[in-house]
Amino acid sequence: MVQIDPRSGGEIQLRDEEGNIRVVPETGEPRSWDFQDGSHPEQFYTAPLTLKDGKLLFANYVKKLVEVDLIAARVDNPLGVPIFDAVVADPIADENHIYLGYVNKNLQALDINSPSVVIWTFETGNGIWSEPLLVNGVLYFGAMDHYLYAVNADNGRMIWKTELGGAVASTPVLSGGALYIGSFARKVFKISQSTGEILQERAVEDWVWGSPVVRGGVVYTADMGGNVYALNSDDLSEKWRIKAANGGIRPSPLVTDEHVIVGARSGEVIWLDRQNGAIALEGARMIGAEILGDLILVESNELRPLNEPLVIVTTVANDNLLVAYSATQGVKMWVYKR
Amino acid sequence: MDILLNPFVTVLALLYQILGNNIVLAITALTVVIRLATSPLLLQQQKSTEAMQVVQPHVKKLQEKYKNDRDKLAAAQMELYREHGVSPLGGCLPLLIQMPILFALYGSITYALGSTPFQVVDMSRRFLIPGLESLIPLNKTWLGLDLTHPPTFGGVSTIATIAAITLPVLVMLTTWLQSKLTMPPIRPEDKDSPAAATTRSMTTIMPLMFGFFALSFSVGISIYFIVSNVVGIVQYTLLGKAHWDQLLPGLKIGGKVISKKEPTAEQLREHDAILKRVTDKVDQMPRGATSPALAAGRTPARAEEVSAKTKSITAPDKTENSKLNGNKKK
Repeated sequence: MVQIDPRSGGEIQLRDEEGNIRVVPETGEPRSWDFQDGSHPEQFYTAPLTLKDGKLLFANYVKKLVEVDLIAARVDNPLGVPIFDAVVADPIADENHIYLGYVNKNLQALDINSPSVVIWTFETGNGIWSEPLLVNGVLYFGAMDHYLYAVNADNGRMIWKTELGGAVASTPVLSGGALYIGSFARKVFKISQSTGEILQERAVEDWVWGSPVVRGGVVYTADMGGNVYALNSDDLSEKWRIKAANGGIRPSPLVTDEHVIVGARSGEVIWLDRQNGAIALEGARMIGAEILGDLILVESNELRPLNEPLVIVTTVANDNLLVAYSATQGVKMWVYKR
Repeated sequence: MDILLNPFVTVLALLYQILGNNIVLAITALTVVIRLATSPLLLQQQKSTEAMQVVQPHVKKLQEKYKNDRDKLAAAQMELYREHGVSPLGGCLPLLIQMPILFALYGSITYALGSTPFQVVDMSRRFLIPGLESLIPLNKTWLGLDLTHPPTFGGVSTIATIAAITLPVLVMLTTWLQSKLTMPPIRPEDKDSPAAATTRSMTTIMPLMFGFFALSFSVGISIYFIVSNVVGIVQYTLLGKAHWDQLLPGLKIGGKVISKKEPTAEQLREHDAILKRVTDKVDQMPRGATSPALAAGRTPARAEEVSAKTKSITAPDKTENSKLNGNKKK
């Protein structure tokens, strides 16, 4: 795990209480914010969870939780907290619980103050590969057993479940009292938040893996065939669609004021005109490495001012682990490699 | 590889659907189908191996006779192979054709069971028939074991633990049995030869190696190993190529004693005649020539002339071979 400065793409250096850069005693080199779990490097699929006590919580693929001090990059318990199974879905938390979906099946609520304590376990028929959505004490999550579930976050009791015809690997999006989600059944669904009833559904060309984005009454989604769709949120009718990439699009589309930005398995990053889906900014940016992780929009803030917002693209190749583009112009700003 | 892998993944998913969403039955069915489909290649490979075994004692005699003349030895060997109608590479070609098929079968099981997100992402482009994605993810639990992981002992149930122990044992047992039954019998006069030692060690090393694989690879692959070995044993037995006598001397199947075939006296006489013809031909070669054809006049200075004569040189040989083959049939 490493912390990167979005302004430069360089590793953040650790500082002492006076603000001086800390150095590695043996070499005199500046100490970066990083830590090595000691496990296989591919075994983290999840984004860290920020806890209220200044800790980051990492759930990994070798069945443990690792807490890291955000300021000092220190791991107090290198052995971590053993958990039920491997994790590929990002964990979430509320005041009392950490909610973890496991790769093979089941969702658990753990005590936030003592994560080794299991509060409840909800059994699913197969794995949970996307983070749950928590709204007003209800967890909404999809599972690889083809169901979308609504579960009471306090006691783990099921409120409803709806069959979606194929594996559900993404997080539902809530907008206007309806949940929007896609599945491997090559469909996008609009589902009642309160009952789980399917209100609308629309066929697409290929598997839908990433979560849709709902903005301005439009549902933006992409499929594993490289197609991008803009659907009216009322009836899921098509506003526009385009075959944007040669490879499948696993991540959710990133929607800005002007553009819909997608990254594909073929290593292309494509800016589309949000109004009509036309390819914008003179075509795709080719990274040449498979893009599987969600694109991240980094906007300027007081702590780290930026000249313009950045789109951070993650790939599976060490020489292009993170690639930053300016969000509006698509100009490559920096590359982080290991 | 995708051109082979994708159809295999598709067929495996179809079989999974047909066989009641049972991945173990699907793996078994696909392995049986592929092994049966590649039977002609196996038969050809086996025939070639047997033919090489027949020739081998004569090769040894040639090695002894021409131990001081490499060129003549090479020429004599080539001539001997030609006379017997054997290609030294004849056994490799069927094997080379089978290898990608078996790799694709192995790969399709690995992909279809896809346990990590990377593997499932990859599956998205492998189905050649729309609609099969509704099967994803395939049910990968069998007898309490996760088919995508190596067997773990002390598992979720007693049955899982028993299965975890039994599977590697079955892999080793069936591999040993197949090796033992398909390895060529060692002649008494060859028992101290390096080839015999290699054969003996293979029947020990192969089961241990595959036992190690069974403990390291996913349980699904162990099932493939077991089914593949059992189908191989049945195939060799039905073809009459399994050396059960090496395992169970005097075993009777269908009222016949299963034992290795020894050449008849007539065959031995014919083999000796071939050997004599070969050595006579090679002995007439001028020193430095590398084949009987060269002995017949192929030198750089006469290349064009020889080229024109090639037909007249090879034609009598073919006639002679035809006669020999005719004699063999009699």
